[in-house]
Amino acid sequence: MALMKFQPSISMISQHKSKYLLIVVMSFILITLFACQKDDVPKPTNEFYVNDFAKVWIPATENTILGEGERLFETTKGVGEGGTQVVFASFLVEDISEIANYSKTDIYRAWEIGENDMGILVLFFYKMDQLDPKLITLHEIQIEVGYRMEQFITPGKLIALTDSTINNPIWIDQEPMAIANFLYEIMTLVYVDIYDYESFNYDMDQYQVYLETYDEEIDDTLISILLALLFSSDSSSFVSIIFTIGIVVLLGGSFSFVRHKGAGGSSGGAGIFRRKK
Amino acid sequence: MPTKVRSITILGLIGLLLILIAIIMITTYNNLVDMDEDIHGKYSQIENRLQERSDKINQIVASVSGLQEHAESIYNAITSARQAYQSAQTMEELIAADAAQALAFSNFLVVVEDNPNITATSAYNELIYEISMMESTLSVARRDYNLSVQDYNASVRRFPRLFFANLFGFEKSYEYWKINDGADEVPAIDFND
Repeated sequence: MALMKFQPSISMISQHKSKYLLIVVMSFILITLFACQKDDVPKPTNEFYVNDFAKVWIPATENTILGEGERLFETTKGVGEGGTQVVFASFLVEDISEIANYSKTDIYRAWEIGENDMGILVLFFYKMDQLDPKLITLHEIQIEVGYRMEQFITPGKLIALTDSTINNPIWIDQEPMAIANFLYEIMTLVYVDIYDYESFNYDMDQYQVYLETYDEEIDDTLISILLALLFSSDSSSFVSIIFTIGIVVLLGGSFSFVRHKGAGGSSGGAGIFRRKK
Repeated sequence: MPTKVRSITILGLIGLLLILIAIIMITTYNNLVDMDEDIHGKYSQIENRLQERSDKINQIVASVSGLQEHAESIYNAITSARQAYQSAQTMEELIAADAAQALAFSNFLVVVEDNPNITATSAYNELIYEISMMESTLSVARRDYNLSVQDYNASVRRFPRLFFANLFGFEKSYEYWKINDGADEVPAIDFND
């Protein structure tokens, strides 16, 4: 009888274990499913202002977009209709029909660009050549402006701006120059037309020099120097190792630990679609 | 268990149940209010976009000369569509006016392009860019409204919201913004010239 009584208790423990196991397995499956869930809209990068998903922009271009984006937001936030964010993103498609899968309005809203709905989202669609996949060319630009930005920026202005920069024949085969020119013209529009600045000055010749002298290895060099100093030192204490690793992580991530994000803006489909000529 | 303790326990449980029901009622009510307001807000957005488009169509028609003389039927269609829009009171009338305006404008664009007797001013192209953008914004506004209506309609049909929606006198459902014939017939304007 004692054995008979004991048996159910074993069975109960076994059932409990099965339950726990089931819960753990189910949790694991659910977590995996959520983790693998593909969003319709891609998430912005930590840099936020520059999202080179196509991996076609050179570091100098990315730094320029990021720097100007940060500066504009910091300068204008808190001003009446302030907090303008200008965000660039690039996408690579194998076939141009894939462009229809991207909704500029959905991306704008998901990324919540601009404080007070004062934002501009620029999407660059690059097309992969069918015969030579390494040959990637810019096919189309889409621009979406926030609800409040609509009153300041008309489609006519955006089309003129795109044609005078991205589609300007002087920048043929000089895409970084074309993108910088486009960015600076947007900045001019925003600073002068919206925030009443007297001017926004830039010099494309100087930018050319900047591009030519831009050293993308600078971060790596700094990291190398720090590591060399650390390991050559005789007194490599635990604290100094941690400190150095911290610095390396910060530099190695191109300061991507400073996570920028959208300022809560939304948009309603206003903007343009423009093919690269 | 003594009778007093049992009574207190039962009263406590009833009290907890009442508090729980009250919390559910309050949150459901507030949520329904939010959803209801969201639909009204989205509807207002469509009205604003329609007004903007109507104003812009008037400006575009004014920016061409010779329309009334050389394409009277188009001119009349635009005029009557404008009148239908201005006199629209209900949502059905507004949807019909939306479609009529889109169709009339679509025909207008074809006539302006094909008829050499109709000449456009320099402002015409800029206005065309703007109206193209407005079609896009109007399309987004319609979609936003329909999504809000879908959320609301699905929500009030679920239990226990069905019960609370009836209790608090919320709408049982809202009408979708249906695209009438013609509303989506505005030709795609290619600016890549």
